[in-house]
Amino acid sequence: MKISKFITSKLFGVSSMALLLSATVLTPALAEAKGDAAKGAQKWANNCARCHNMRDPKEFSDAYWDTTVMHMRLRAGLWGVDERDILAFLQASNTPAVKVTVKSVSVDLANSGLSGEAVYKSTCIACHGGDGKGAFPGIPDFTKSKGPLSKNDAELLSNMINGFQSPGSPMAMPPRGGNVSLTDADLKAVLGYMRATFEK
Amino acid sequence: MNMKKSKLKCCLLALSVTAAIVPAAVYADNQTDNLRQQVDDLQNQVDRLENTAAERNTDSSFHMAGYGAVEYADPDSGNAAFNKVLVAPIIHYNYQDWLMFETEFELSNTADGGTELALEYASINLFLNDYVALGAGKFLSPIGQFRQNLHPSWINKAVSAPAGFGHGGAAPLTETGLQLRGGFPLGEMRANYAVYVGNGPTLAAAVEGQGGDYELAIEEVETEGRTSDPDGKKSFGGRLGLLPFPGLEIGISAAKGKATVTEAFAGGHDGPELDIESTGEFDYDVIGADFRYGWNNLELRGEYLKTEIGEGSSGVEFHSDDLPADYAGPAEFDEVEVGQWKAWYLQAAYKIPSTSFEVVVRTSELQTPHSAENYSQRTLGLNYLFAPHVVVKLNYEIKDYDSSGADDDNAVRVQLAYGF
Repeated sequence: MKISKFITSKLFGVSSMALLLSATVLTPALAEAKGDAAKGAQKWANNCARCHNMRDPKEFSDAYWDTTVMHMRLRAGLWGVDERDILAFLQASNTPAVKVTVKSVSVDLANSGLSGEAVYKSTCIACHGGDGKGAFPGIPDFTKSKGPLSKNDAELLSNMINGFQSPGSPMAMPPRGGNVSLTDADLKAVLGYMRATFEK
Repeated sequence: MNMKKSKLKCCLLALSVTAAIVPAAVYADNQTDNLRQQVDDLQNQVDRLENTAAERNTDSSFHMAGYGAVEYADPDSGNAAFNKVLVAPIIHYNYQDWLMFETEFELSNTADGGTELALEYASINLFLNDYVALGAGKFLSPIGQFRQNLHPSWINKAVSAPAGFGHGGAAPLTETGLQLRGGFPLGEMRANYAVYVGNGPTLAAAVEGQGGDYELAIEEVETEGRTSDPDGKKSFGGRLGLLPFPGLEIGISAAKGKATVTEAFAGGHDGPELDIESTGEFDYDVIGADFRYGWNNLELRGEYLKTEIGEGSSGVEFHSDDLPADYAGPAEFDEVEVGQWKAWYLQAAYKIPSTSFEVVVRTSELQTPHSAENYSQRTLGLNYLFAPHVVVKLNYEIKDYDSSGADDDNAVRVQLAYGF
């Protein structure tokens, strides 16, 4: 009996050490890569609501988000790449949205390398959901006849480029949805996709 | 004469020009000085901002978070009162991107106006790679979900914890030892894990006497992480969470170890303490399962935990020469009544579209070896979200004890909670 207990406890110790060593030796060291804000938007939407309401990206400064997301990596069992992507999204999104409802913008419609659907499904879907009704509470419903899509293209493009906070929404949409790599033409394309898919 | 006149004119002209130019020059100098001053001020501001930015790029950064809550309760069986004021500051300090120290205190006031202070957790965490973090210290038990992730007031959808998920329940609270945490891809799924080795729990027992017969029963499994290990054997356990798709998480938990009786009382916790001379080792086993499903504005959660204390290797003996004067029971018990502590809850929360209101329904139950402590708790709640992290909760809580001798304890509870 004692031998069995001894073996069990040692086996556990050896297994733990093996897990630790294999995890540290066989996997790459801490990556230096920067996070991907577009992927971060999706991961932020998928993971943070597992435990609590979604916090507004503009609630904290870049430095605060740095430490907060590190803490959340521990709590939520995120991967390192998740931490970097979510941090990149939050730090790209914590600039307060422009208060002006409509800000004149010079829209460069050349060189859209992505389809509207591709842009929507890589960036917008994180908050607006696959059905356009909003992935979590407070996000406006695109399918409503008096919803955001009732506005004209110029106003919507302005909101997408500059960022916008809908009345009653807990957080603002960051400029370009938090994905600074999207061009004006990409945003125009995704607006067309949203009108074709969700507008009633 | 003409020469004199023309000289005079020249002088007058020169004086006029000088009179006109000098004030203009002085004015210009003043304006230049003002501009120079503004440039200097701006330069100082830029320097300050650069210093601030440089500080943010230092190796270490400090962050304080946490939560606070104020509660009001109006129970059927007592007076209404502002019954709780709580603040739980959480301090994070990280070094570069591979080390984080985190600690949480909990300060709350007591019924008699005093203050309670507790160290919820304090651990140093090393991020070994993208998938593994090693933590050492006191940490929240990774068994189940409520204790480790959902108990903060601004996250908990109801005012109270579910039955059996607070102190003295079935759910382990904290542990002192080492922990590995992280996540990894599992085919198309995501997975997260936490495994630990720690000092494990201890047991509190009570001697109950009925008609001259006395028995010693395990009253409570004390799972607050401690810095001693009376049984000398480490406990280990953990949780594996699987996310087949975004919105669904399923978790399974288990823990195993040994525990000894470290506290004993005559007639329950309020009775005189009995000084323990020797105690056997008791098997400690925990299993659990939890799930969370979110779909648009609806969130469903559930959790089940069973803690079992098995037969001891021997009984418990008290110091016979140090027994309380009014204690009439024996000094030695060859057998100790053991048993299972089981708790579960199911919770639904629905955020009403286009409003800041949220409706919450929760039912939970605690079953222990002691029928007087067993109860079910049902909660109907309406929450108003001032912000995602600022919520006021209005709950009607129905608490039904299994024992016919215990009074049910229904209450209206209101809580304002702020996560910062």
